[in-house]
This record gives sequence, structure tokens and C-alpha cells, in this order.
Amino acid sequence: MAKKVLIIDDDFDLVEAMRITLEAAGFEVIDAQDGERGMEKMKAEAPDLVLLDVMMSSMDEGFHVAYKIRQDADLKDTPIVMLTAVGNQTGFQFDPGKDADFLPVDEFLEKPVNPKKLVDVVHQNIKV
Amino acid sequence: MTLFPETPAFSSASMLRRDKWLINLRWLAILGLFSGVILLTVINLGPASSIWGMALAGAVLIALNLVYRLYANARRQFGMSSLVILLNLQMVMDLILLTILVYLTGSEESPLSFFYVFHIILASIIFPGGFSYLYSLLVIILYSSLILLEHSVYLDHVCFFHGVHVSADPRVAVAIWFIFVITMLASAYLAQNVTERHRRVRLKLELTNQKLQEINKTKTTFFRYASHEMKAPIATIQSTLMVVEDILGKDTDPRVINMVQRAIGRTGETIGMLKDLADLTYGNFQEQQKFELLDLKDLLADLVTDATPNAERKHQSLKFKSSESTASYNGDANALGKIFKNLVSNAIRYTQDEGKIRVKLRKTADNYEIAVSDNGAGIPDAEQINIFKEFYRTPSAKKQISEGTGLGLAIVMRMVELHDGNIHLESKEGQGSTFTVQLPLGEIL
Repeated sequence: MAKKVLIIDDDFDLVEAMRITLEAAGFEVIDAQDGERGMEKMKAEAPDLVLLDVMMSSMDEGFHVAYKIRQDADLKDTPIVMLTAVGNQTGFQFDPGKDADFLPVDEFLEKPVNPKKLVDVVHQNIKV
Repeated sequence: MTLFPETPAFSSASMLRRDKWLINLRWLAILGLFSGVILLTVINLGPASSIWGMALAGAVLIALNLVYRLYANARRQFGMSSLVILLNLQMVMDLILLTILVYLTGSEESPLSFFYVFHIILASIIFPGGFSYLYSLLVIILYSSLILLEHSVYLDHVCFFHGVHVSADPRVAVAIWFIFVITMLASAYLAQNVTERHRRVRLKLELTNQKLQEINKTKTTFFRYASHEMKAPIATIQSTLMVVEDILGKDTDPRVINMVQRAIGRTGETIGMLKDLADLTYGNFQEQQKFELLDLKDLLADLVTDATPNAERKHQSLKFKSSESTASYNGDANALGKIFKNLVSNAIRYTQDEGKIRVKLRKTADNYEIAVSDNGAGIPDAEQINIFKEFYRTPSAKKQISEGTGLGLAIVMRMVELHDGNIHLESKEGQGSTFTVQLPLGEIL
């Protein structure tokens, strides 16, 4: 059965671009436009990996979603890849190695998203 | 004429205001003079010739002041130089008349000689530069000439207090008291005037500074907002284009593939520029800054290691040398990274293949000094002054590499300023360039 990837991002075109790439690579893709609906889909569909945008309605909505996932007994092991443009916007730079303690995500992927890199990152993080 | 260039403090408008002010002050002086004449007449002190002489001097001063006033009102347009000459003429005439008054009231005995002081202060208020020194010199010459003339045969001394017992006569006390009062009041007025001018200027500067800071804040907020809002859609467009590029097959018209690739390239350039714009605003927002104790040597070593593959691609030798084994510094790692990443990547970009790039760290008495040097083409003298300006790219840089936002060194400058440091460039055409950043040691935490 195809692995299921949930994309939580409010940018429809970016979701579509990633969907096309991931479906071509053999994944099943579902999406949600905000954190709240994202959590609902997490619970209903139990995806194998989440692609999560940092900035949606607020600067840090993605972080809050990530915390909620990590605090949920059923969902806490789902790998999270955070989509970010933050690195160059606010000057924050993330390093999952260093920041894992307070940033509960597995990997960061910077926008614009390179399709090959997207597929690689998803393959690396998804649990087989 | 550039003899007296206009400056904000000495514009022709302000000189004209000073002219009118001086004319008004002169009316006050005339009033004081005639009060003195009347007082001396009432108390019957001093030789009649002196009193008449003083009245005559007063009349001449009235006539002159009327001429000055009419002239100032009649002429609408004054050049800076003609105003300076006009005011000097007035001041010199005043001093000559004062010297005559001093002579009439007994030269060395005359308490009126104190009034010279006011003219020197007035000269310092009215004129630019060192005019007050010139006026003190003039006063000394006038006074010395008077004394010398009196001690020669050409001029007779006026014995103002002739036949008067100076220390016992109440008339002398009244006359001296009168001069004393006038001196005190005039001193207070002039001192107040100087201080008030000073305060007004400072207030104006403070207000202007505040306004400029607000404008700067608006600008940076706009940069930050605009770059943020524009980057997101362009990033999406690039992501979409990359997906399209990916699915284009072998039988696709190569022109279409080229077009899509060029479009990806252009979105990439635009994103780069927006990143740079956002970087320029870095540090203007308190929440972004993160000063911490770090090791400059490690930071630079890591950075050089990261840049090495790019240098190797051009067969350049990129090396880092440090005179210190550790270089503990209180700085913002992110901002410091931007400084040296920019300088090193510029050196790689603009130095020919097989060139040499060196990054050197040393500690001086007050600073850490980091020099990024190359043996590239160098930067012509004429282009060096503009190099840190926003959006400026030297013609030779443009010729060499067409893309680039011209923001890199402006960002570097901004980040160096954030650390209260400074940066300078030494470069000779054909020999290479060295950018030296000085970061003040300050207090080690």
C-alpha cells in the first residue's frame, strides 16, 4: 500500500506542486489548509509523514501544530518535515541536531521546494 | 563667491536676521549712551567737551543705524558675501565709535573699555569661523593705538575726573554704578542669547534625528514586509516551475525546456534579491538580535570550510590563518556569518581561476581584525567610494558577472555597524583587494 503523506500548507499552488511530485514518486497525498484541519486529518487518516508549513495564519502556527502532534499519544511518532522560508526571513536558522530539544521536528525543508530534494527528504524520514 | 559658503548655520537668510538683530541692539546701545549723557549732565560730572563729544558720537550712531536699517529693508536679495562685508563694516564702525567714547571718558580710566568684550562676543555669534579672534585682535589694536597716541604728542589725554576726588565723590560712584549695571545686564542678555541659540539648534537636531529614525524604521519595516510577502509567492512559482521542468520529457521542444529553466533561474535571482533586502533590515528589530559569547576563530574556520568547494571549483586556493588559538567575542553569530560569507563569496566570485584568497584573523589592542584578501583584478580607485552603497555594483563587477543585487556589501556594512565595528577596503587595480573588518573587543562577558 502506498505511504500516505499529509501536507499542511495554506498555499494551494505549492501544495499542488508537491502533490504532483510525490504522487509521481508513488506516495498518496492528502492536504489541509490550516493547523486545525491538519490535526483533524492527522487523527482521521493517520498519515505516515507530515509536511508542515511554519507560517500560515500566524508566524509560528506550524510550531504549535508540531507540539500538538508530539503531545498526542497516537500521533507522536509521525515524522514531521517542516517547510520553511523562515531561515532567510527573520534570520533564525534551524539545525535539527542542535534544536531538536525545543523544535520537535525531524527535518527542515526550505522553500522554494526542489522536487528531487522533496522526494529524497520524504524517503529518508518516512518509516518503512 | 565661495569665500563664505552658505551652511545651515550661516545661510544668507540667517545672516540677514542677524543684521536686523544687530541694528536693534544698536538702538539699545544708543539709548544707553544718551542715558549716560543725561546722567552725567544731571550729576555734573566730566568735562563739557567730553559730554558734547559723547552726544555727537550718539548722533552719528543714530544716523548710521538709520542708514543700516534702510539699506537692510531696501535690499531684498543679499548674497552671503555682501552680508558678511556689511556686518563687518557695521561692527568696525561700532568699535571705532566705542574707541572715541573710551577716549572721551579718559582712556585707561574709562570703565567703558569693558564694552569691547560685548563686541567680541557679538562677533562670535554673528560670524562663522574664527571672527571673534579677528575682532579681539582689532580691539587690541584700537585700544593700544589710543594709548600709544596719548603717550605721544599727537593726542592729549582727557582727564575725565579732573579735579574730582575719585574715591570720595558720590558722583563717580553713581557713574561707575551705572556702567556696572549696564555691563551686568548686557552680559546676561548675551550669555542667554548664546545658550538659547545652542539649545534651539540642539532641539532642532534632536527632532530631525527622531524624524529620520522614524523614516528609517518605516523603510526597514517596508523592506521586511515587502520582501516577506513577495518571497512566498515567488518561491511557490519556482517550486511549480521545477515540477514542470521535472516532467518535461525527451520529446519536448528544447526551447520550451530552456524557457522553463530560464524562468527558474530568474525566480531564483529574484528570491536572492528579496533575501538580501530582508538581510538589510536585520538588526533593526530587537527580537532578531542575539548577541552571545562565541569563538570568532571557529566561526571563520567553519565558514572557510563551507566555502572551500566553491573555491575549488575555480581551482582557487582559499586559506584561513589565525594568530589566536581562540578568539572569544560577544557578537551575533548570524550577522557575523553574513559579513564573512559575503566577503569570502565575493572574493571567490570576482577572483580569476587559480587565484589566491586569504582570510586572516588577528587581535590588536582594541579590536579583532579580520582581513579577507584576494589577488584578483582589484577595484579602481574611482569605484571604491561607492562600493558600500545599497544597490551599487561597480562597472567592472557588472562586466564580470551580470547578476547580482548590489546589496551584498551594504549588508556587510550594516552588520559591521551592528557590532560597532568598521570596515575598510584597500585595493589596487591588477593586484587584488583586501577588506578589513575591525570588531571592537569591548567587554568580554
